[in-house]
Amino acid sequence: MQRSSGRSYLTRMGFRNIRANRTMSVASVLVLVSCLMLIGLVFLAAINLNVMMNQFYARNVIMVYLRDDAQEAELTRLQYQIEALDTVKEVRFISSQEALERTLSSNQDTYALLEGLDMQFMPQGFEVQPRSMEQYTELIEQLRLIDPSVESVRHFQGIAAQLSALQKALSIAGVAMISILLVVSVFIISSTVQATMYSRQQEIKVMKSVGAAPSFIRWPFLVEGISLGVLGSLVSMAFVFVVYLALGKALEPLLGKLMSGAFALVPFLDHLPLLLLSFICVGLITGVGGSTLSISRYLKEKVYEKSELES
Amino acid sequence: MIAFRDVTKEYPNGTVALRNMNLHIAPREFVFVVGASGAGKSTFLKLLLHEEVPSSGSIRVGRFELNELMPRQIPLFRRQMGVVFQDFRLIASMDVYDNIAFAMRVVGAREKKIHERVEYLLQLVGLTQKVRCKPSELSGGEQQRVAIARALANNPDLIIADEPTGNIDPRMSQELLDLFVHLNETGTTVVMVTHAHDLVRHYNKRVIILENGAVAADGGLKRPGGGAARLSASQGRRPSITMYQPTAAAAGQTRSLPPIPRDDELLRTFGE
Repeated sequence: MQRSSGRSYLTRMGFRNIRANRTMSVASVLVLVSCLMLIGLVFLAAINLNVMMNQFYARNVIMVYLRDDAQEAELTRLQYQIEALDTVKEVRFISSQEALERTLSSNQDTYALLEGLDMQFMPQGFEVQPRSMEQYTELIEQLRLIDPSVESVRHFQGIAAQLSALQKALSIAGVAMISILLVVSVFIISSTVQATMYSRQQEIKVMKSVGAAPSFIRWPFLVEGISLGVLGSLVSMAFVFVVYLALGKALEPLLGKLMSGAFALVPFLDHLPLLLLSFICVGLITGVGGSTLSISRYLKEKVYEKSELES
Repeated sequence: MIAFRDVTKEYPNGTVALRNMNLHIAPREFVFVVGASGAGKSTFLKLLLHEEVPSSGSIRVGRFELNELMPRQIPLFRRQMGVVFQDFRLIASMDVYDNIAFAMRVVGAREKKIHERVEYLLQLVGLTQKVRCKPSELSGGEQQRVAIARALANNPDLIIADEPTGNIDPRMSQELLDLFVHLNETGTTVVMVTHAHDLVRHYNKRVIILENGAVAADGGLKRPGGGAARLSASQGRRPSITMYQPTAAAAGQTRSLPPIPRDDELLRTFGE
């Protein structure tokens, strides 16, 4: 009973301290917000880049063209042979008709030129999607030698290699940036907490001089740390949401051109639970960790050195 | 109440602040500790408050033998004394009420009890009208009175005052001293470190003079009418003290103070 009334007083004191030390409180929240915002935006950028790369991959198929005189039985056999390869993710037969329709849909001007012609002149073949870009070269060789009915294999090996390298580089850069930002955040946040503690040394001294137990002194600071941490994470989440929407509107037309088609950013809500949880965790860890570690320096008491006293 | 036995304090930079200090202060005594800068007054106080520990020797304060004090006992040890600092050390974000109440909340007192006691203490120090003021809205003298009220909050057996008159005017200084004298008469031990020699001369109390980290003189003043103070060289015994009778004017300035009720219930510990 006694203890709980004490705790509730101390909790109120923690909230009151936030108001009383509003300059440092605002500084702590701003530091946390800026760090978390950068982390959040880099995280979302990495996710979108990954989606873009996957879309590129999906389009980067190998075309296997058949001899014009290839029979139905040969086509079926060849499809089974290709599907049996470990390096293949998906195989799809493209008839002459479908090949023509694709060409026409991508270029309306061509339609006028081809109107009235025999629609069987486009080569039929298989569209083969590799299981991974690392196996691209190996798959091309396998397809060339797979069957005598194969006339040619069309591929974009150069682009594939570049895309693969780009994705690897982007993954490494994303992880590195987030790690660096996290380290920088912890450093900046701990410096801010240290500055806050330094400015309130006197208060801690007074508490100690009237006989306050360390738990009594620590509690309001802990409440402050938790509150500022959670507040910082929620504010940064709101900022990330607004900036992401604004960036999406500005970048989507540009990205659409780059991707040769419409491109929409990954919906924010898809990643909201993960981001929110991560932000709150980072906010709590920095708030609680920062205040606990910083205050313990001021709570240390001098102790008697037995050896000195005996000498 | 307080016993220093062969206490030496040497700081890590090699400065020896106290050398083989031996000192006894009995319960209910009123003691002035004086000395020039660097004489060891601050170190004496720090050792008394357990902010520092001696390099050798031992200290006893009340029922606590400081050599054997565990870190978790330090808050309990500090709760038996009330401390008044020259710079008041009030918490700027708290108003007068909370600054005083804070010392009681530390020991886990109930809000009802705190309210009664703070009301009483505010009356005692004459600050009932300033209960909701922040320290920055008070004069130096008023801040010092808040600090005294806070020191008295838990009805301590021992009051330690570090230059309590350092930042206030002479008239207020005398009023504060009168308050300390009254507290002493009601049974509280008072140890006051001061530079205000005029005030020391004004009251017939025991005076300990520190010099170069040692007790240079220890005794009582014998001057009810005037003249130089006479102190005997410290030989470990107390000289006789002639009680000072306040003048009519001084007596007139002294407030009639209600007795401070003892309340051992307050010593309940918080979170222990």
